[in-house]
Amino acid sequence: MQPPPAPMCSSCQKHLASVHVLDLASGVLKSEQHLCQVCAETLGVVQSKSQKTKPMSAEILEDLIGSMTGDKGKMRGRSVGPACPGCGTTLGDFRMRGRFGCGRCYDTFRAALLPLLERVHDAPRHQGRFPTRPPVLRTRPDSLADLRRRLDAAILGENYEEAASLRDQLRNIDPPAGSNPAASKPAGESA
Amino acid sequence: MTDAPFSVPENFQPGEWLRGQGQDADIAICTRVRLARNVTGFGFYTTMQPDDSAELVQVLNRALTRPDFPERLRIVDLPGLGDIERSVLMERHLISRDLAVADRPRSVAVNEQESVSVMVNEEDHVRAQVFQSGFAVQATYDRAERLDDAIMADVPYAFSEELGFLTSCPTNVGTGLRMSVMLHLPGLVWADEIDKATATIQKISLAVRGLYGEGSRALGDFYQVSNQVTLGRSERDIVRDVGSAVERLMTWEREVREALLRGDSRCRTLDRIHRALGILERAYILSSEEALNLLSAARFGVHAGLIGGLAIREVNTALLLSQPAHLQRMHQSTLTSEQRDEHRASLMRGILARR
Repeated sequence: MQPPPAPMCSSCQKHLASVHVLDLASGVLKSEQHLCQVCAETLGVVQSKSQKTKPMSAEILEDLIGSMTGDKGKMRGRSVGPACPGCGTTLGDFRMRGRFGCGRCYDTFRAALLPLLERVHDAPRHQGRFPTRPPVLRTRPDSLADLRRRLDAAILGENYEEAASLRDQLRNIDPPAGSNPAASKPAGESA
Repeated sequence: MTDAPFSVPENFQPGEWLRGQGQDADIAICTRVRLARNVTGFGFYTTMQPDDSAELVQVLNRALTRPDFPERLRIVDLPGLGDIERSVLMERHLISRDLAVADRPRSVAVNEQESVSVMVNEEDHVRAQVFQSGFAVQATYDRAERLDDAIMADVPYAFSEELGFLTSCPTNVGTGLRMSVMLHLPGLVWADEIDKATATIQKISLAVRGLYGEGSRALGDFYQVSNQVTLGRSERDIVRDVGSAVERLMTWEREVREALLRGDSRCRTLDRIHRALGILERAYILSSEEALNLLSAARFGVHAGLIGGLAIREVNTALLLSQPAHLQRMHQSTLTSEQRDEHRASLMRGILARR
């Protein structure tokens, strides 16, 4: 039997039901209950949406990540949703691991992340200290590892012109032993 | 069976976290600050290739050992250590359980006093920790900030103006700061008030955990109180939040301890402490959990001035040496659980025999 559209809460009879409890045994519907959010919370069927003061642990985080992306079944697997341009991580990956793949993931998945941050933290806005020097000027898009990865890809793709250019860049920025690691800057950038 | 009691190795140092000194050291064992940071230009650990991990270890370790660095740190390459040695570092809180068992290039930089440890390639590229014996939230944070500044002078960290320091797990984003105080709360546990105390702390969004962090049980009446929120509050707020919660807990613990040593309760409390000492002095088999519980009672007794001839330093040494990896290192071999229980009892008899 299908529940009727927009049933009233079977407990208070005042509000529209938004929580539907179906008791299934071997795939057969044995009983059903339709509750509004308030009654469902009161009866302990669902957790309070306003429980912001509850301390957050990694275990709870996993549940939250599960709920932040909607349909659980669809979110499993690597290929779901747009991939982060920085590292290729998808929202599905994040849901499975509970960890991002790089700093850019925070931008890529910002819309899905903000409600989670609001729940876990006090406010989704940094109130703490800033780095002693602006890191934006010192990001290393052409770091050794990144260049090496691009070189491997160019060789695999038989793109020898690009490979030669990347090899030259690698030679130029590979720091001599004992030098300051921070001095390994993108090719062409003055130290 | 081990008949002869173990002797504690000469020059054994329990490390900063068990030094047993500092403000409120009868309750606050140690204050710890941890900062989580990631280096720009490298993926987080979930996407990092082994080559990148190895390069990152080199980059960070060069920064951590440069001549003008404010802390004198020694680099320990973790894949190069045996399982027992890695577990010893974990039992001393210098590395996390995750870093001990991870399968990637990684290291830890530690100072001689074991009051600073910088983990490289943990869940975040950098997990910088500062410890200070006793209750010292502000001083510990200040030292951690100097350490952070010194690393940042060389290495650019992933940071966004909106979300602060970017961490692989969004529960740490923002300040990346976890401020914890490890507490010994036998009074609250014995008086059955610990659940009430724990609930009070959790209501203000702080966490109460066992001694070895998330997922660890509170054994031997040892707890750590720390902040959960890292975003939307400043470092100053977090230091103050944790500090004031710990002060309230310590006041509560002191009141309960006094009550336990008054009137009808006194005899029961003395009985419990001296029974614990009796077992420690005489037992031939002691599990890790039982030893921790007994040492907790002994620690309470020493601080209450009820036990003569036993120094808090000896109790702390016993606490650390009775851990599985320390026992095995002292014995220079892998021991079964049963063998460890025998050696642990032997160790306790050795320490208590000196009274």
